[in-house]
Amino acid sequence: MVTTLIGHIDSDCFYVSCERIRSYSLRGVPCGVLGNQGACVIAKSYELKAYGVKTGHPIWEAKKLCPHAVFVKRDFRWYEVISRRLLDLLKTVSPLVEYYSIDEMFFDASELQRYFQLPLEAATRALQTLVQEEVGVPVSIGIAPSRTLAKLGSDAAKPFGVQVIERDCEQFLRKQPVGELCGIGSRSERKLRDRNIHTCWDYRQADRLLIRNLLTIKGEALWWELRGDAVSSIQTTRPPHKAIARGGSCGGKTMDADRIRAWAVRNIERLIEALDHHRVYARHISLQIDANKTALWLGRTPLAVPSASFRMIYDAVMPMLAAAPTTHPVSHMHIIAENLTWRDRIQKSLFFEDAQSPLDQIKRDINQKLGRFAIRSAETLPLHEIYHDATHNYDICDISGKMCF
Amino acid sequence: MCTGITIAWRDIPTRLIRKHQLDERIIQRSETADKEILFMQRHRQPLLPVFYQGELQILPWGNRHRHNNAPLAWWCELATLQSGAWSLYHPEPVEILANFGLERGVWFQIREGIQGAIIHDQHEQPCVYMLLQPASHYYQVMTGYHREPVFLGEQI
Repeated sequence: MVTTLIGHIDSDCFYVSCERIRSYSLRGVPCGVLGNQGACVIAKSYELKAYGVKTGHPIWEAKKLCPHAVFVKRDFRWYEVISRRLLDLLKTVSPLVEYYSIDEMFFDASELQRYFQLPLEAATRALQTLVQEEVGVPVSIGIAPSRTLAKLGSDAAKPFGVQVIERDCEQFLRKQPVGELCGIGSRSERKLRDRNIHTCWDYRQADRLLIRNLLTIKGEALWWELRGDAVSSIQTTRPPHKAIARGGSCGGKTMDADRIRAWAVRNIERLIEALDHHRVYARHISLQIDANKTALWLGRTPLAVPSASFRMIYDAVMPMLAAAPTTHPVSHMHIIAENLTWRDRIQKSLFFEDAQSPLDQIKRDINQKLGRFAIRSAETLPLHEIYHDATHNYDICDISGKMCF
Repeated sequence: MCTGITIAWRDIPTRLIRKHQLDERIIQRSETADKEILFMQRHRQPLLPVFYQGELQILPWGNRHRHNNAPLAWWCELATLQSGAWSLYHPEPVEILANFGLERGVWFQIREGIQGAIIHDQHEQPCVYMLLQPASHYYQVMTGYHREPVFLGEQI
């Protein structure tokens, strides 16, 4: 559907704001939310940011920068509850809403004035107030003729601001460095800088074919979007996955073979859950091992038939794990299902086992009834401290329906 | 070991603030943050805010006087308590109220409070001991310490 105005709503320090909803004592306090292992700051309040603490800082550095900061354990289930409250509220205001990420949403803003019976900027402020009152999180909102401009607007309006951008927005674009554009990374920024393109206005004024040559069709799409011509529309449903991955940190560096196998099995079980949720089978399985972010090892194995069977994926992963170099301690691991196919679109085989065995189905049924990992492989026993703490059982990637991470 | 806690200033009645001169312990983490009252184990008079016998009270934290017959400690291992080693002191359960706790320089959030044990010495003076247990993996990574308080209604 073509929309004349697109809104982008972005929550300010979302995880901290969610924690502040249920803990009044955190309001105004320099506060950091810690990641899965309790080691790194994954979100920080503006009060903590003022001390120079950045996302990704380890806690031992963060506490030196701000000794009186308070650190909170992450709770992705709670963040999802708040995120969906925001999504539901936005759906009452707008006919089209895209669940872009846990704290960002695009929406059709063409009905905003009529809904609030106010001029556009006042209506946007009214929406901001409504979100603050109903959901409890502060948000910044950008309204523009295209997604890229709307996102630029909300980013520029942070914290707790609104920005309405019209098609002719030279003054605004002149103030925005080109690196602020979603889709322009450091390498693209360097290429543009070499061509004397420093601001978003420079980008918009540049020759379209030059941009296309430099940054392919994606760069050209941004060029159109900066001119106010919406290239990408609001997507209300997530497109099918090209690949699904599960993994992450191994809770610190380890060379213990039993623990490494246990992490691999945990990630296989999480991956099968995701394949079940999305109703797909995998044709290829890849294993990526990261040794302290210095050495990377990647293996890829085709499966005999499209599958989501524990046995089949296990048999694909374990030889790759055995072949991986053991000279470096492992810090991160990812298991990736690729070449996905819908479950109802596969040819059944006479020669291979079913894509999921009765044991897989029993395991899934029991875990759905009794809770995640109620039944799990005995090979995960070395990770007793992870399973002992139920909050480890729900990660940000388990929040379904988002367009991106 | 958790060496300090804070509780919101507005949660403590004025009469208790006056009685225990808690005004001296007020801190504020930022201009917009709530005032908090600090209870540190290293204070000259270590105290803890507890919910005991149906009301909020400010009671001494542990015992540092050798002439008292209460254990010379500030904390009590949950396993030791459960083994019955403290039964001769007739410990009673108590809830320590706290918003934030301090462990090895890391302030962390406490949602409901911490479990404690209260013991009365030979003069019937109460002493509150914070209960400790082996730390979870998360708490250990976060604070770098291998024991954590027994939290009420949560696990860090």
